Amino acid sequence: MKFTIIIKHSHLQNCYSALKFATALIRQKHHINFIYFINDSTYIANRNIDMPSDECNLSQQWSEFATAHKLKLTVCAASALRRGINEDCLATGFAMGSIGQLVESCDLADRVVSL
Amino acid sequence: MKKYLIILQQAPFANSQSLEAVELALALAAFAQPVTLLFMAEGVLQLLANQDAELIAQRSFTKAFTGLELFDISAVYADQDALQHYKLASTQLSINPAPISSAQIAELLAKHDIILSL
Repeated sequence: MKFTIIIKHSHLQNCYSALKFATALIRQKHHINFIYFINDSTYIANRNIDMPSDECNLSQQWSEFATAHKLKLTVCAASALRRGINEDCLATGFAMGSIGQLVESCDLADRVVSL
Repeated sequence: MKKYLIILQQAPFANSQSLEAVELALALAAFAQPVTLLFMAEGVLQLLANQDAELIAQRSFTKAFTGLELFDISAVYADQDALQHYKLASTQLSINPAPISSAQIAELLAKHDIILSL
């Protein structure tokens, strides 16, 4: 099945479940056609996040996930710029995108899941 | 074409989520997607008329509601329990959303393909 995933919460609001969900989809051979970060989740795209060593660095984990599965992580530009996240501080695998791309992906997806 | 339902359930100026939810709805509509709005919980407070957010240095995005028809967004619902909870009479609102019961909300959810709650 083809999935579009929309993520809304920041790395400080326990949104680890989104990454777990995406990982489970890949494991079960589903296809993820788009991952969109909107609202506070755009904070995750900031490569300057430096978590204490005994805490999960969600930004880094998403980057690793994107690299391992050759997926792009798309960040809502309007949400990101409001939060001080610009092109220069995007972590590996993240890119700015628009609602237009989201619409296109939702059209093609069998399921759209937001979390 | 897929039908979008945007659920607005945050008070208008407590954080940027309400503003971004409205921006999302307008952007989807600008891409010619069918969009329905549902105001629930504290979200019904966004419907109060004459809110001037500039007094607290914020954008008065709730003014956009009066222009929703220009974006072809004509399906606008408000949870009637929430309206009652906040004692909001229709005369106090900037637009006329259709009041909707919990049972009808279930039907509304079932009629849409993509439900985004912000």
